[in-house]
Amino acid sequence: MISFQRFDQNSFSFTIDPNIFSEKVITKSLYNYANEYMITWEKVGDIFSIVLRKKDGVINQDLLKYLSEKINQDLIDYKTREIIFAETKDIRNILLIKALSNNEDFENIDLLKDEA
Amino acid sequence: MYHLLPFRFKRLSNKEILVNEVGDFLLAPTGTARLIVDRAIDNESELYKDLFSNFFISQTKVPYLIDNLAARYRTKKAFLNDFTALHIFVLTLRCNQNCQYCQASSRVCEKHEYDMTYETLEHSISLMFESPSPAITVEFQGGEPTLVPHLIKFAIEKVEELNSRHGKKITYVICTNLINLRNEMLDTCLKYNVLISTSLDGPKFIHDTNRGKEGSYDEVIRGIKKSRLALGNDRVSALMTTSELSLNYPKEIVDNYIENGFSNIFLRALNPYGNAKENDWKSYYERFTDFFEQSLNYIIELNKQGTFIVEDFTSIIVRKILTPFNVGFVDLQSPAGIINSVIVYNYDGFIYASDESRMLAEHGDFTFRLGKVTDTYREVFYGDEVQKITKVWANEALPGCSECAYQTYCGADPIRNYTQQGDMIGFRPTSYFCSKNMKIIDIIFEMLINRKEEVLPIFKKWIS
Repeated sequence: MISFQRFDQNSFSFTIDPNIFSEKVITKSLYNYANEYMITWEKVGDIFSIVLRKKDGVINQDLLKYLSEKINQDLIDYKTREIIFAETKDIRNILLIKALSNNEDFENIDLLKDEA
Repeated sequence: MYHLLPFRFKRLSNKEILVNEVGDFLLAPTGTARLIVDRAIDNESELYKDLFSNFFISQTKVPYLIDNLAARYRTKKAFLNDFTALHIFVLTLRCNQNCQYCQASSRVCEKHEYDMTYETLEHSISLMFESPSPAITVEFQGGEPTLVPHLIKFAIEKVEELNSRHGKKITYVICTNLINLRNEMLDTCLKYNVLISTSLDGPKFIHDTNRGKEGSYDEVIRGIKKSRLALGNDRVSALMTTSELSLNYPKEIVDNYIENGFSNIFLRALNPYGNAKENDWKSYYERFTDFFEQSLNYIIELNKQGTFIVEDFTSIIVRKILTPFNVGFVDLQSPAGIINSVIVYNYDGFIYASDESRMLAEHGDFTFRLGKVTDTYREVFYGDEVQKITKVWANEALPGCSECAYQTYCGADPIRNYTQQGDMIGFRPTSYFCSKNMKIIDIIFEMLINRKEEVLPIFKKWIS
């Protein structure tokens, strides 16, 4: 679990080890917060240090608790999605080729030949 | 050990919705996606069997039934097969009403310079026949197209003449407020089996306020009755637009449609164009989704009591969720419905990607002007402007959409993104298109999760 630290009344920060969550996962996780929060991040040594500053209003204790749980969950979910994408990229390409190309071009290719 | 197949997921109502590449869904306990990825699903469990039989996992790297899955994918994208099928002809910008939410930049009745010329119309029809689609819908729009009945008649006769060589299946639609519907026009409609699509916003006080004209409601109802009598009930349909005023009257609007003999209603939101401030639109869309939910609940209640009435947008989404078929609704397609499914020939001889893009042009923004009716088919449909749009017209490749669980049920709308947010890619966290569709699909899934026994038989009736 990533721990959050309050910066001031309308911002908080946290650090992430990119060996646990990739830059892509962090970017995707924070995308939906970019409407309400100004997001800045920098790399300090091997660690990402990220600050979210609320554009309008303050971050009270309840909101901080909610954001802490939500962002942690989002990071886990986007990491799961990243794994799914990486493991299924090839099969998705095969699927699209089979679905949208002229089938005759591919009918002699035995996609299952390596399975045995 | 099993292999993963492409799927997306999201959490809703203490469940996880898993959706595979062709739109099949499974409702599973929260955390299931993670368990699948961790290979922690017991292969003796019911869940394992469901995941396997619904193409979420495979026992082989390439599933033995990949050709079936590919056929399913092809079916979902079948709207791409024939290219543009809906051809909209904006015959005039003139109108005899004064709708407060009008986005068509209509002009007063006397300004004939806003009518399409015969020459432009002929060129447009010739271009239309170059479309590879074997079935074509010719839709006459405005302004108010019945103010130029001679152009409608000319267009239909020209299409009939040319089609004797092309042999396409032609459907005609006139989008009219029915205020000016003369007998001669109805004769033409009867002769060529023309469909009438009109606007009805609900009870008299709402309809007349929206139209900015006292008596408009009575004239529309008279026009609907007259058209039904001449053409048959099934040839006349109506669309409602949800104004600010409408948001307070969900039941009254639904009841009005039933009283006027309709068995379907399309709860349509306003498009975020015009002079309202950004905050006004944000508030409007939040209220609209509440209005939608209230209306849908009321419609379901009516169906339970024996009144058959369909909410069309729900029906489209449910069809996408529950059936393997492609749904021909241009607003929810990926690649986008613009150009692939719809094209607009404007009164001034220019061609636009959609209704909204020619409205932008009326305000001096020609970003989506694809060419002139005198250009060649290749110049218009494969030109530079279209090439630019193609780069951003698939939600599979858009930020915020690419991993959305509802991707296969939703669509891409570069013009809407551009109009609201200033670029064609758009920014999902502030997109009204995204927030509205996401909320409505959530409402439908919440019903399927929490009230399945109650709503599923009704939804099935709607789509059968």
